Amino acid sequence: MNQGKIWLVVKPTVGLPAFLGGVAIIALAVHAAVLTKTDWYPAYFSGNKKVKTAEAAPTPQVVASNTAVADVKGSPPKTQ
Amino acid sequence: MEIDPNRVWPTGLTLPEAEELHRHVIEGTRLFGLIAAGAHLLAYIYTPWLH
Repeated sequence: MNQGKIWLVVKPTVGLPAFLGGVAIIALAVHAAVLTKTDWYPAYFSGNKKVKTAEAAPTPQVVASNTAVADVKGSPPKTQ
Repeated sequence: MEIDPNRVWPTGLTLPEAEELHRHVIEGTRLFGLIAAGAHLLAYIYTPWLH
């Protein structure tokens, strides 16, 4: 641990954020590079698209049927 | 060259304080490295990474 003497000449308030920030920036840069240069990494974060499209398709139909019911229920007060 | 353990350096730390701080830095780096190694092992096993 003879490198501990670094804190005698480098202020910990400067050195520690610089060290931790450097680690964070390098880690983010490497992962961003993998994210942009591969197809499986973005696909992993996108999840299973087949399941999502199958679930998303019936949703407008449900909304439409609810809207129709609401119109029917709402129409009698207008006529009275 | 011996360093006076009671001398306060320009950073405001003495030699024992600096070595204590550095011990925590080393421990944190080791813990981070172990967690990162485990995460990369899982990524290697369960993703196409490096295959």
